[in-house]
Amino acid sequence: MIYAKRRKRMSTQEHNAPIDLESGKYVKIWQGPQHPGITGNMALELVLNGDEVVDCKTHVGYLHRGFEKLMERRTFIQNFPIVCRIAVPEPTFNEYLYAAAVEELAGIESPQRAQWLRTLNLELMRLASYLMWLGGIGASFGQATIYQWTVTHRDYVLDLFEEMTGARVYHMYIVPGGVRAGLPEGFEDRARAVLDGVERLLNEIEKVLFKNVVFKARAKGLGIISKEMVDPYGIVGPNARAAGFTRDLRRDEPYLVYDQLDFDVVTGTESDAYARAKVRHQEMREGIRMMRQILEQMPTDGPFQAKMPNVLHWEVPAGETYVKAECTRGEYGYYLVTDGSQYLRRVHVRGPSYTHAIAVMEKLAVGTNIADIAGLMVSLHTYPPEIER
Amino acid sequence: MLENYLPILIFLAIAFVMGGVVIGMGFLLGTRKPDNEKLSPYECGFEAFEDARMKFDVRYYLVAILFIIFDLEIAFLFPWAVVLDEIGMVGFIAMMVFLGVLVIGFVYEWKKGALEWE
Amino acid sequence: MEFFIGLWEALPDGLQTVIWILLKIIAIILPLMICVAYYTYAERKVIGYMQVRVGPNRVGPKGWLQPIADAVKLMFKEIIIPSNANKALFLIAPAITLGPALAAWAVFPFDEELVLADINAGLLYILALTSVGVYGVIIAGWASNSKYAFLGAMRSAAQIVAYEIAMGFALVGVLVAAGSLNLGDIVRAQSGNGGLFSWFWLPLLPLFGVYVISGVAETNRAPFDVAEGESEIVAGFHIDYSGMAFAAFFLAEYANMILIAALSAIMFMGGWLSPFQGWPILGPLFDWVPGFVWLVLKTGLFAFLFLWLRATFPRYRYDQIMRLGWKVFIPITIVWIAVVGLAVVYQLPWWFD
Repeated sequence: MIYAKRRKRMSTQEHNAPIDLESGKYVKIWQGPQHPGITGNMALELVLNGDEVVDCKTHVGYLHRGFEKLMERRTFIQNFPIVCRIAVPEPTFNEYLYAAAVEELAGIESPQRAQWLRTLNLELMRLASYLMWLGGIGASFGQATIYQWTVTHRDYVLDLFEEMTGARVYHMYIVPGGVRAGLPEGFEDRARAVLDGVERLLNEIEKVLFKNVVFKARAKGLGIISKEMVDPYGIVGPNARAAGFTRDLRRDEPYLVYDQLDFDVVTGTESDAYARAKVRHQEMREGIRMMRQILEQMPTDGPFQAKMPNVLHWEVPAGETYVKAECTRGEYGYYLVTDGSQYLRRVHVRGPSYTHAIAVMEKLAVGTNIADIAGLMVSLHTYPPEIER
Repeated sequence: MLENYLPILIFLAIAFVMGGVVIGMGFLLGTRKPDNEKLSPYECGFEAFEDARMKFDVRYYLVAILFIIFDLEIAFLFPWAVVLDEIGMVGFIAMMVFLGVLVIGFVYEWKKGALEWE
Repeated sequence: MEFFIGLWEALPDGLQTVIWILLKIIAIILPLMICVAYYTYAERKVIGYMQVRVGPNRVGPKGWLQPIADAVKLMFKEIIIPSNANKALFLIAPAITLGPALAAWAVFPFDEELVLADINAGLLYILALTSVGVYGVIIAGWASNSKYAFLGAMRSAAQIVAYEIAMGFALVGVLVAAGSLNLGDIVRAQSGNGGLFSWFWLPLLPLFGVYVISGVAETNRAPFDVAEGESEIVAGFHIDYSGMAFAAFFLAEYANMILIAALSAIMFMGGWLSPFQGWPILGPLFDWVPGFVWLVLKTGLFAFLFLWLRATFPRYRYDQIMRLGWKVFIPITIVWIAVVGLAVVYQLPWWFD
């Protein structure tokens, strides 16, 4: 409470006067692109008054590979290696959304078992991504131990991916019409063991990180997103849920088999970095709960792939669609336009990183301490490649 | 008495020479292939476009002054602490008066906000 | 052999003393350097196990040669001097940091009578030398002519200055209790029949806490390592240093850590005294253990604490560090000095009679 109060006093300081770098009152400092305190390749141009950030400009473009344009020059099946590189730590969401959008345009219905497998794959991915993020929030506040712990367990999750899909990071498991393979024998038990391990880790992190006085002192009151900010800035996902909005596409507009699963939408109240971390920490528990249900209820036989035309000469009928799903950072959408040829006419990827890392970051950074910039950045959970797809 | 300080003098000399030797060794053994990019100061991948020796508006000045006051105070306390056994209650009260004056100053600074970092 | 003895006796008296002193100094510095090297190894190993990994295990058996390999690597690396740096200051700074970290050991009592320079102002000398180290940091930050280094140096200076005061007050408390500036006398003042309960950590508990935490802050260690906070100012004052110039800072940091650990053992944990001194059964049972071993064990305890802290705590923010130093530690120490002073004046048993 006391921290929140102090932070408020800081941010209400007057900064209306134009910033004159020559006056000797301000210092300009770059954070990124070659800087350990920044997520991925982007840069923050910070103007400091003492330790306080008075102006923040984001600079992106270090990773621009033109994903959307590239996809217009490739056949539908050739696009899979591209989409999964848009968000490196969690490619599966892109695969699912792209596959679902193409299916919708082509009028293909994926079989029931494939939907369960997709849900399992997505939730495992969410877990892996959150594990990495949780380590990141620890590391950005100078607590490297958490990072080592979570990355260890992320590796166990990646082992599961390897069994399930044959690959650890870029799986290309979800394909139009279903998934590439069923589950190997004994996978359920091994998956349960990994989930138990992660659950123990979460309890441990609760004690080591969330109850730590220093972490509380630093993260509480940091980067408060007010309720009024959420809609104008287009803030979604855990960042919005930490502000008290019960918004989750899995609950609001269920896709795949989420309507058959029992889970709670986690929300916070404080809407600071601590609350955002806490919400994600809770969501990992919900995810584990969901995956246990999936492993329990999933049909074990039946087709996992719908009958497909020859994908090498696949002409999808003309049309347009927007498909969305709840990824770790919030609503993630693919807008696809086809013209009846073998190629996409236009594709647009709507990721939450753009608003979170640019508009929200530039607003929240003003008035914070330089030391908290890295933590603030991580707490928003953004991926630079997704900004510049 | 004074000969006790000879080892210290020699030790000090050796310690600083060690510092020199460590760096000298680096120059002796290490490669030297300087180029323009390598010698530019770190600026996150950007050109260092301005001198880093800028005016810097933080409260370091105030802290420095406070430090001098308090460090002097500690210097006064040292001899007092050693002989407190012998000077007894009178000595104790005398020092407490002195400390009290400083504490009043400290409280004043605190209330004035000199210790607020932001 | 006789030739050497003859040669030795032919030397003038003054030279003989100097050579003796030199040998003694080498006998201190060499083991210290080895300790520093293996402290870095211990750090990587201990933190490794705390982070559920094994740490270095490739160079030599169980990774025992890792520090040697590190040293060799650093020796052969290029020392880069940035083009707009102040060259002379840039190279002097590491030496200024390393020198005091080593020289402070001159007055350190390793055992009863086992001390190089048994001077009366031992504590004052150590306090003076540890303060000199901050000049190295400031000069390094200034000479690098980089904003990150400059910011790091400024922060480091303000932080060390704030904690220097808290540390100084804590030491005054020890002086009041011991009645002497000589480190050996301070240890002797702690001997008593209570074993580890007659040491100063018990009556001076608040000062003990303040001293150890200030020690962590003085050495710029986590969670007080804002001077090199890597997620904000990357590496702080030594950002532009490489090779052996960087190694000098590194050595100084670890030597300082060992020094602070050893001083905590001397001043609050009874130095070379046995923790079971004067106890009915355990006391005689452990009589054979040399004092030096106890001192090493106690130092190791604090040295381990430093590593433990680093693995457990996130980094403090800068203003929080200053707040802790000025608004918490200084008032605590001032109050406790008055309490201890009263106890000494009234000759309170068991520590002050």
